[in-house]
Amino acid sequence: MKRFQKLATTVVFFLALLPRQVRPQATLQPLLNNGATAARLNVVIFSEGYTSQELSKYSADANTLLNKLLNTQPFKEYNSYFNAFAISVASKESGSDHPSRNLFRDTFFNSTYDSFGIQRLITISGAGRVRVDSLLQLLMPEYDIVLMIVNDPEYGGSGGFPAITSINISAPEIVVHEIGHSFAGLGDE
Amino acid sequence: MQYARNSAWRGAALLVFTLALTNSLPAQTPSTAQIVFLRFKMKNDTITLIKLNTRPGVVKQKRGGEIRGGIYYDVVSSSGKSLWNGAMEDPLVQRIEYGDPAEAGRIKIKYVTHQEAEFTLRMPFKLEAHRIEFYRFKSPVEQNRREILRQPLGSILLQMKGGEPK
Repeated sequence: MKRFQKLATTVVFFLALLPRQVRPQATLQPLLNNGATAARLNVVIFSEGYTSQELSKYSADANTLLNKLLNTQPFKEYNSYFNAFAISVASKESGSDHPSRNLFRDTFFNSTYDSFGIQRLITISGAGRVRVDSLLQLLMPEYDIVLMIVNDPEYGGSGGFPAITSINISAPEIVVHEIGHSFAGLGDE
Repeated sequence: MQYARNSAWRGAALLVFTLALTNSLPAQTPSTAQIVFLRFKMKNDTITLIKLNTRPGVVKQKRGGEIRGGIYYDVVSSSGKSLWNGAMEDPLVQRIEYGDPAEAGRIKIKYVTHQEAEFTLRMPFKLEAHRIEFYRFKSPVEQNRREILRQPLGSILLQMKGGEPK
């Protein structure tokens, strides 16, 4: 028993020595600041399927998505009403699940392509949603728009909460469309 | 002359200050405002409260409006006074939008029905909040009846404690 306690203490000690980014620790990074969070629409972008080594790339991906969004009408016109934040959290493996190809990745929000039999449809699991919810409560309780970037080059995404897009160059159109629904009161098509 | 100039500057400064303040202050005072996160589970039209958590911040009131097939809620005091209300899409019917690269710019919609689902509501902290009532609006079966029926889904007691963020 004493031996076990000694071993456990050693493991905890070495885990504590690991750099922060190696542990699944979430951090909040401001991307755009136009005023107090209580008086602005706060966009929060989550990382999914980025390993700790890939998180530096995530910051650039989040900025690309934000620029795409804020350079699209009607958001372009109301640019100054938005704040934006990136929440970085490392996944154990890079990418996302592709069940139709028997490809599975251990990622923080457990995202997957092929949802409900549709190859391009990316969703996250129920546990993943709970994690999104907990991190929002902790880091940005005044969120208004929640997006997620999945680090996978294949086209895909989905609307909803959160709206999800892959890093494929054409994928963010789903996210832009979804936000149009939520905040501009636009019709479907 | 000097006084008039100073007075004009003071007036302009006051106007700018007031505008800035009006623009930045919502209904709650940001420094003291708190958000209550209510996490629910819904199964076969039965809703249960899983977790209540309080965090600092301000909830923005969403624009009202009817949500077809949606669920409505009303937070009331012990005397039945409405303190906060809203509407949301049915958590058991997930609306998913997705794109197809073969049809660029066209968004497709799929509805997925679940047996159970969890969802979170946010509301401003109000010590007098006593319970939350959920309901749907149901169209009457009889053609000649015009009023819309309010179908209750449940009433859940809320226990607001002191307002300290947890």
